[in-house]
Amino acid sequence: MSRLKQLVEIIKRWLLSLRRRNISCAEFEGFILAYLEGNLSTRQQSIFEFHLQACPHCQNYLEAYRRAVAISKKVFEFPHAPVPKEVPEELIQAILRARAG
Amino acid sequence: VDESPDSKLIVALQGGDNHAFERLVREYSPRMLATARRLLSDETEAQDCVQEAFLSAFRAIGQFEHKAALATWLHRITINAVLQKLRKEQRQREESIEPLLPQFDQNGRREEPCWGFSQSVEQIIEQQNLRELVTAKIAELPDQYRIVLVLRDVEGLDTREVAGALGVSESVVKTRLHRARSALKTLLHPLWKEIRQ
Repeated sequence: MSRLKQLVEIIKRWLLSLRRRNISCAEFEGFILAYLEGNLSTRQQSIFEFHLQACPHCQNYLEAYRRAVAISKKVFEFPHAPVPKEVPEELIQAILRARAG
Repeated sequence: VDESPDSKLIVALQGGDNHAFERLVREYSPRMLATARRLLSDETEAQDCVQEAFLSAFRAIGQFEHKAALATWLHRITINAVLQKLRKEQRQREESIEPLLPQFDQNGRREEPCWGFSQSVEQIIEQQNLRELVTAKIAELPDQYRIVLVLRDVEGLDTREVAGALGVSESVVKTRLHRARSALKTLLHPLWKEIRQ
């Protein structure tokens, strides 16, 4: 095989591997939870990160997603979660009656 | 000797003091009701669970060993009461979450504006009324998604525990969790600024 043919083969294989690694945003979406929980295989993780590096929309989306998760965790972190100022008096009385009964 | 207010209250409760039981209910029921409300959208069901939780606590107070704070112990009992209710009912009602999920064009590309994040999560947390806003937004999620989100992300249960508690498979829990987080992200858009691209 001439050097040129060898080179063409290498380039073809490289392009094929790129195509295999290239997923859409919709496919990327399906990997997010497993990625954040560290449950992707090495190959899946490399495909995920390959898309992430190339796609500003998914970078932005993932950042908003991470923030939403962090905020919901922080807001309700025990014992700082918001509590109602009052509990219906009927509920308090029902609990006390149930104990007495 | 532990002289903390909780410790005195526990001694009084273990001695069967009626005033102590009333104090316990008045002091801790708001937090327990808030916990039950996050998981159950129906107010009557949430109140039933709080009542059930207090009755369990009254029965077990004799064995309370001060290893956990009273608030943490009651919180755990409330979660168990809610889980028991959810298990018993095996809710099957499917509500659509689709309008809150990300949209893609025919080539699988995201159709969503980009967002600008000028504040850190810590700065956002400090905002006034944020807790009320997030509480209200989480309440907008359909039951089956909100329950999984709260159990996993707020209460810290793992996927297996949530699956067991709800009587569904782990893969169902994962799907619901991801969708619930995606939907919550959409509902929290007012917290960041849209960047037109």
